[in-house]
Amino acid sequence: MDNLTFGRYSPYNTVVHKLDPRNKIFLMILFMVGIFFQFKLWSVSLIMSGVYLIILIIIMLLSRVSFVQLFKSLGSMWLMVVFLLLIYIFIPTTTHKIEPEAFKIFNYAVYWDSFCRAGYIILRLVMMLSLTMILTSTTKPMDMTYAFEWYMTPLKLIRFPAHEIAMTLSIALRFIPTLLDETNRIMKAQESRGADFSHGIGRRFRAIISLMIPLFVSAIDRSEELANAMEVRGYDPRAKRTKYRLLRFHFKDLLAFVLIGCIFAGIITLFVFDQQSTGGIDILQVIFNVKGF
Amino acid sequence: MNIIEVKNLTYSYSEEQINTLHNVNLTIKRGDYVSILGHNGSGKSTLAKVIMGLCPNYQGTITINGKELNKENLAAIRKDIVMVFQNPDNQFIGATVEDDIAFGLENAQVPHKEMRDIILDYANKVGMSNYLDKEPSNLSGGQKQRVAIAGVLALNPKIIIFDESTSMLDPKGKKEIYGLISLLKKNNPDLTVISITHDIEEAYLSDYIVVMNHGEVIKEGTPNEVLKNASELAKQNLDVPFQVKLIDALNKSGFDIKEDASLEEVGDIVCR
Ligand SMILES: Nc1ncnc2c1ncn2[C@@H]1O[C@H](COP(=O)(O)OP(=O)(O)OP(=O)(O)O)[C@@H](O)[C@H]1O
Ligand SMILES: [Mg+2]
Repeated sequence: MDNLTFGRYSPYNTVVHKLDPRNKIFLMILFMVGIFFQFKLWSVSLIMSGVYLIILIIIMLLSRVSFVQLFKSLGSMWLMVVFLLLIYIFIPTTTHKIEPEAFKIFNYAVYWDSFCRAGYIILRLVMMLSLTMILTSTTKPMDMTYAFEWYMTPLKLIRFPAHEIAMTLSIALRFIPTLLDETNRIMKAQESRGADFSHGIGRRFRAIISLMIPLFVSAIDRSEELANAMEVRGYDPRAKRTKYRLLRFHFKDLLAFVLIGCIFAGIITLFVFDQQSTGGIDILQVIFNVKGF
Repeated sequence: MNIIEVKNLTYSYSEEQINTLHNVNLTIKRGDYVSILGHNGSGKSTLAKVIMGLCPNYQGTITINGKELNKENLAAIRKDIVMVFQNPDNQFIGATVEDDIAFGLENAQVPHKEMRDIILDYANKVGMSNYLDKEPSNLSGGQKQRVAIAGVLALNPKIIIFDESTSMLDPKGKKEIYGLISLLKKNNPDLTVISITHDIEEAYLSDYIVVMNHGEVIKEGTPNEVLKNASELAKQNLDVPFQVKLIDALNKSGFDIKEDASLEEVGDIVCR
């Protein structure tokens, strides 16, 4: 259950917490797109990554997201790191002009370039991860569903069940702790009957089946009662409803919007110039052409 | 005046099954506190669900507050009658206490501006105003049940059905809920309360008792009429109320006390 703590909402009262969730989601996506612009020149890529990192760290400090938690969750990324490294090492790219050899494995040349590319991708993934973490730990899950509902509203015109999906989502979120409790209880009950959740794949598999079936049965029972309770309180998905929680776009939202928007505009401008440039100084080239490296 | 009238109600969950409710006739007066007794599987919850309009394919007629229960009237009837269920977890719909109380108000299209005040008011009534932003996982069963009660009360109903709403609570939680119900009754004498229960002491305090068995109403009347005979109650697998047990025991040991004597009268006779 430990990995569930990643990006869990932390109830502080910072500026970032108070931003409109719709705004936060939009700005996060904007930032992610910016991060994934591929520049031609290594030097530009490096500088921009530095800029992104600084902005990210500022936002994380502002929103009091725990760095410890981020690093902990990065630990589980090692498989991806290895995978990416292997891909970049064994699928060499010929487009790059410089290919200083790092070392040889059985006559197979491994280039510094591969490491750099893999490292760059990983860096961007880490930045994406911290962005999502900032979003989820400063936004209540329910606010997130309200925001999703708002974004899906135009789809209602083509009879897309936006409200129903948002309601389903919020109920699912509401019942996660309840069902986790239930899971623990059933596990203990089945263990006391001899189910073995910790030894051997076969035994574990059987034990998990003995967990899943009662869990499903109870979840279905619960859903029936819940549906009754909702109906009793007058819920009708097709009827008009008023809202207790209204999303409000404040002045600080506008500020954040303009700020991130400007940065994004800057990135695009840079990107356009970068695509047109042919020469320029490539930092990587400079570093690795230094003798004795 | 009768607020609920049930005539010749027969219901079964599926066609193969025998009737879960069989020819039930029942009238409930406005403002009464009615207890429904009966052992497990006798059809109490089913009766409540049919009256709530949750089980549509029944035979017979049900009239609630002058309106016949049917598709056209269902929305209007739902405004008059609400129900609190047994499991506190499965009827907590909102993410927090205030959201849960708001859920019914949102459905009733109460304007956003008025909601906050209504929520505060009812949270106060059930003593949960200090927990407004708490999530259900941080609340006790009794507290969740009180939130559920606030959630239905906010809809300003004329009838509340409690379906064993205290059976999952400890004695303290039970006491809190009973206290709350009697307070509600005191503040609003027109409120009709129907309580499905196994707790004979609670039933003893109500105005009217309905006893069910195998989907039929086998007995109804005031507590004194229904609960006076200890041996008969035991036959129905029902607990015998303390007072009835006491009078029964005293009579066996030579006293001559009327079956519907109050505890004070019993005291007077014994001390004489
Ligand atoms: N959803 C359902 N589908 C099919 N049969 C059901 C369903 N719910 C209840 N029954 C059956 O209907 C009968 C009456 O059940 P009901 O829940 O009304 O009893 P009850 O008096 O409320 O019992 P308890 O005191 O245990 O709550 C039982 O035989 C039960 O098996
Ligand atoms: Mg029942």
